[in-house]
Amino acid sequence: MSNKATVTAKPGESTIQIERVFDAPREKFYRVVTNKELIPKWWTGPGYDVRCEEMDVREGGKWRHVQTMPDGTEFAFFGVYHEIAPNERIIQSFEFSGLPERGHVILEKMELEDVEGGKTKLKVTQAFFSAADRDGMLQSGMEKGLQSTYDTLDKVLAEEE
Amino acid sequence: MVERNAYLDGLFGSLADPIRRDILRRLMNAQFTVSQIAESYDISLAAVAKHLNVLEKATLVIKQRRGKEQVVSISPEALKDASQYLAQYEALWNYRFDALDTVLREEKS
Repeated sequence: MSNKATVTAKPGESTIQIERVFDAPREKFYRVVTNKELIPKWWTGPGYDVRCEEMDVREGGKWRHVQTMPDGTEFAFFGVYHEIAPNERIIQSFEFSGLPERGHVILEKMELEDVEGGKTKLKVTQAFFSAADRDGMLQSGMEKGLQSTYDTLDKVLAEEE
Repeated sequence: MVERNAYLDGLFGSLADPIRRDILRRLMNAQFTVSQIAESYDISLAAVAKHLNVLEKATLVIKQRRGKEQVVSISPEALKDASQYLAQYEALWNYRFDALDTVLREEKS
């Protein structure tokens, strides 16, 4: 049986909340998610590989994960650890290398709570500079080829202007 | 040919026009008449109407006549698309978390 994550993103706001309960105590959960060697095993997605180039889990330390897409294209996700409270909370910056310009940084807060039966609730809050930045990030999970609202709007705009 | 990236499209693409984006944001929470929307911006009623026409053609908003006024609301299609983005993002995290479940099972306590 696997739990399901809930993802909340209210219209017009610039944050995303992700919550999920894991069948492991907080200490173990924290140890696993801060282990550089284990990142390729889980910080991934369908159809691509991930390697961890840097993961210095201390305040001011850097992290950098690189995704390799099936066509060989690489994208990096990287940031700096702002606050490390072992077994309780991590606050870090988060940026995506695939954008044509810098400046679209996310602040990510990861909180851990005890749940009855030796389980752990993970709460992640991602804070973006704007709703536009956030909605862009949400769209990054879109399946290729899915006809999006924005594509439709593109066409209309091309005709109008 | 450069591969289109949905993330980049979202950030720098068609909704880059701040007024159209703002109109859409307002309509996420309530319905407004055309003149109510126009009051919020320093542009002419005609210019606002043009923005609304673009959004309507893109099936993002619906206009309905109510008495003398036209009432604008967000279209079900726009909301469906928004929830689709969220579902995809949720699917990515579930994929990761399921993998993390496996790692947690394999690791010694």
